[in-house]
Amino acid sequence: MSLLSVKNVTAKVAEQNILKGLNLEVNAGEVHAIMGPNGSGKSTLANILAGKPGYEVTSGSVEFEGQDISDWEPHERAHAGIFLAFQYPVEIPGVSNMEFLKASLDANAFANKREQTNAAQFIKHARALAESLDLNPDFLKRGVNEGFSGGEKKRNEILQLLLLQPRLAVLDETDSGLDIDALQVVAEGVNRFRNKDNGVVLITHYQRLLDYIVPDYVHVLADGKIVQSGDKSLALELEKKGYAWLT
Amino acid sequence: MSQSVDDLVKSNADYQAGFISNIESDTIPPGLDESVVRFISAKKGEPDWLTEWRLQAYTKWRKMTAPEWAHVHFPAVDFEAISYYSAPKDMSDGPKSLAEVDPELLRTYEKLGIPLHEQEALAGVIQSRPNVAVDAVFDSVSIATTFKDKLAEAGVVFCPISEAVHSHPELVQKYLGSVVPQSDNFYAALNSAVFSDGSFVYIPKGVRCPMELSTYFRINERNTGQFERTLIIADEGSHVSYLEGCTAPMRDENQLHAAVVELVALGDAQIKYSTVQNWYPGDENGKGGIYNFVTKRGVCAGARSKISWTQVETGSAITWKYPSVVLRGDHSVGEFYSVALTNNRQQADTGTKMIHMGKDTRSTIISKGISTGHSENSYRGLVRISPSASGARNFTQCDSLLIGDTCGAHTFPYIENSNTKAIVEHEATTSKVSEDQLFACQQRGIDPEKAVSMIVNGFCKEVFKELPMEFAVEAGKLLEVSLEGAVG
Amino acid sequence: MAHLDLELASKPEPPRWLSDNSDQFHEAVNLALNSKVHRERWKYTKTQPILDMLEAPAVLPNWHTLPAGVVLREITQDLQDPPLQYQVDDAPEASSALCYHNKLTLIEASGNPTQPLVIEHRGHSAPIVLKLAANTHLELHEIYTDNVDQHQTLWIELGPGSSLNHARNSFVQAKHWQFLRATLARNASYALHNHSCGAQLRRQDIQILCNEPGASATLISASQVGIGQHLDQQITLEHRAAHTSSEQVFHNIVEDKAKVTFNGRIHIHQHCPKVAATLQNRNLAMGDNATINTKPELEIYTDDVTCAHGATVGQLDPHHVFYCASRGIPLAEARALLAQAFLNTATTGPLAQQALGEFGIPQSDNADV
Repeated sequence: MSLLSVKNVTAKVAEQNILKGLNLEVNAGEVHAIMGPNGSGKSTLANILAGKPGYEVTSGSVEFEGQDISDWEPHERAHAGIFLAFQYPVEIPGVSNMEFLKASLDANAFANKREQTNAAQFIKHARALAESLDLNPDFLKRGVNEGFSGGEKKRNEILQLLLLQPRLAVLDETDSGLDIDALQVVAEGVNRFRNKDNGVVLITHYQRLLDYIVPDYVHVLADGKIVQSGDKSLALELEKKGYAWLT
Repeated sequence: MSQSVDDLVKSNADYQAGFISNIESDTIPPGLDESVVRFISAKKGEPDWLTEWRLQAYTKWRKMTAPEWAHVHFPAVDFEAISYYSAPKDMSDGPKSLAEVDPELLRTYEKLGIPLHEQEALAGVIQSRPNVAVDAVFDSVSIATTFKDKLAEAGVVFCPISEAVHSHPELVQKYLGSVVPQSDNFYAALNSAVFSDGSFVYIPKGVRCPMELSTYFRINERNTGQFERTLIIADEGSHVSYLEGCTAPMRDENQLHAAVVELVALGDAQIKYSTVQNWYPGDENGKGGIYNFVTKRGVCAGARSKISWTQVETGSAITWKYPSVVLRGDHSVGEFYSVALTNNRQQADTGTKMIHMGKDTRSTIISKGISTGHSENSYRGLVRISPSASGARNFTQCDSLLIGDTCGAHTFPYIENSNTKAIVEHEATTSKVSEDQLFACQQRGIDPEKAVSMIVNGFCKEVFKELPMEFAVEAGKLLEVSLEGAVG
Repeated sequence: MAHLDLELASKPEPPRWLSDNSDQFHEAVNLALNSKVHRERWKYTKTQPILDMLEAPAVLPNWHTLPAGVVLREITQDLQDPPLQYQVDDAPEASSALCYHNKLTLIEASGNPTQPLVIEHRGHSAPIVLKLAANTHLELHEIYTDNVDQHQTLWIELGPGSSLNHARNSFVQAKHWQFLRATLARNASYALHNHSCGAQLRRQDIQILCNEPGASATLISASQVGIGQHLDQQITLEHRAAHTSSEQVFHNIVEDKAKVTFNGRIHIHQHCPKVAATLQNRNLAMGDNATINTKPELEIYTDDVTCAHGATVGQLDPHHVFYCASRGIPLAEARALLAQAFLNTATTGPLAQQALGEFGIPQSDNADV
């Protein structure tokens, strides 16, 4: 079934036109990798899917599970099942990771008329997930991303992904700044997440991540449009020839 | 502010304590002169020495002028237009047993969640404050004081000050005005002349007070001022935790609250005084609201004594108070933990004074100011190290959180150090709730109002953890309610 | 009219180029001198001794060779465009100085002068106005040579894109009052390296106004306040536009029976987002009976800003002293070393070496260290 349907979208931010007619279809069970040179609009795509303030879709449509989400608030999109793993996760000192995760889980449960998770079970689950991602479970007591290294922040994003189990995960350059070990942990987490009912949009600059998270489709985003699509072999070609080859 | 945050403006939440109780009151006509002072003293059947004391204060007050230095602006108070005494009709002869109190009055306290019925309190039926002794003060009179018997067993005296004047005159005479003298400031002088009631606490030597003590103030009658006076004496080695709560109904005109609180801690004693202040703050245009001009001071008279002030201030049109500690005893400790939130058109100029006099004294100040709407929130603090205070240490952290760009947050810390063997550290930061933080919370499904509330709570965490548990929960909720409509 | 506690000793005419109506000006000055705000700024130091100093006649500074691009003239007569625009309330004492001197020295700089402008004060100087045209980059040295009671007022206007690197070494042993007010236009930048020691009483008033976006100011100050001496520093940093920034570091060493007062006010006006301002005032007490009053103030009317300030009053960290001792350095030397390090970190700019000399801090021969 169709999870995400982006048709001919043009979008701008800070009065600059960034996306100039982007098309993307993601069905359940698929992993799509989006690659492209800097400034091509990769983060803009991620942000318009999440509904970040300041980003405006000027034409075209964005549909999630058949519904037009262009007017939806960010938290409403989250309740519907869209998850964005940030390229630069923010710190929220004073608010513990535990508190943040629970609030998020509860909000999503409430919106979807599901029962809230019992606190003790939640803590157990969160700690188990932390350990599986090589994060010291004590971090749950610290402020959100407070004092975390780059790698820890990215792993925290994946922890949230696994906890919230969204329908569509948009990962914005989750591999940037990671060493090989962290990369493998992150990739393993994403692979654990993917199944036949959900979808992943993997935004990345380098091909390396795709060795670990094997995509079904690879798209190249350049100058605000998808200029080429293919399967995983396209990524290897790009690695050899660079982006200039396409444009 | 970006579009999304602007879109979050909602109508002001109802001030939940804004109801008016229909109680018949005995209220004297407005105006203040010697005869009013005598009337108040006579109504309470006070001994001559106290009447004289009030009159002395009145004379001093007449010679003083209202101060204007704070970073707050308000039209001059017309002191002749205020009535200085009001009491619910059947209470004017003093507190009675609960069965005899006007049921409407009892309902008032029930609505506010204040447990006046001991059984219900013990059973935790009224959920906010089980097992706390309460002295309820309605307008100028104490309505009831609970758990007196249990406290009496421990030797603890907890009663209205009007009662203490008769039951413990030596203590009152010795300590009243010893921490805040009549001439200390304009509002203290006024209070000393016309104070009506308040709480008196005496903890005997070595006693840990078996329960928390609390006074709950409620201003109801219009055009009256509330001038309560509280005196807490902790004898050597004793411990007490005291909670003060306040509310007032929504009215269009301003009401004056000029209280005086004096704390005395003798050697090795500890007093913890917590306030959650939710006086009516005025409407979104700044109409109405309480003027909260309070003088609160504690003296660590004995060695190794400790006084902690913890406050959460969300109400009042204008808050002007500096709970202070005079650290006289060697090795004494003063603490001040505060969260002050201003919204709409509120103004706050609040902080603390830590006066170090003895040797090796310590003070800690943690102040968190949150301003939003068109409000002004100032921290004003004084850390004074006198020449005799060798080895003194102070740490101050004041942080401001601004929400929106029509409000102001200011810091005026005065550090006066005359002893070089002292260490003073002061830090202040100002920040806002960032768009990125808000978006991150929203992307995880947390709605914007809840997100702001979480972030603000995180900001206040250090202070909230100093509050007694009952108050901490109430404080958190109060913050949420007071912030509504603020994000924008 | 309010009761006037402070009065100018005599009533000289204000300069003609400033105001036609001498009475109005006098009234404005007197009112400002007696206002509550003004008195607050003089809480720890009496104003009258400063005002009393104003009557003595000015002495011509020694103008070292003016660099190319810098033009100097004295203004005594009427001018079409008065060289100074400001409110009396902002600088009432400096306004009275204008009256007493009835002339000012106007210095205009443009281009990229390769040499610094050096002003050597030899006593009271008539007020100086320094204007930098757009995109001018100038270095300014201010030094003082005679040990007489003196005051100087300096008004600086930085045009768009200009920058001024200002080093000021004030070492005269007398009563010394210095007033400095700098206004910064778009993208202007101002750096002040302020070093002082030796005065029986020194009062430094510094007002910096970041009036347009892109303006930035850096104030770094190291002062040694000797036995029985008194230093009073009153700094106001006004951020009146978005995207402006300031950084202030003030280190004061306070000897026995000395008195230091520091008031650093940062005022961020409404509708000025993206302002970053920091202030650090550290006071090191070296002797008993020193008095240190510090009040770093923040007045903030916009939320999207970052501001931080810190103030500390303390002594040498005993752990540091012990560390030195454990490496064989005797106590007195260890204390001197650590005190020097404290001053050293705030001694910067073109006249740093000279300042270190005055502070008694040995300079390293190796400039790279």
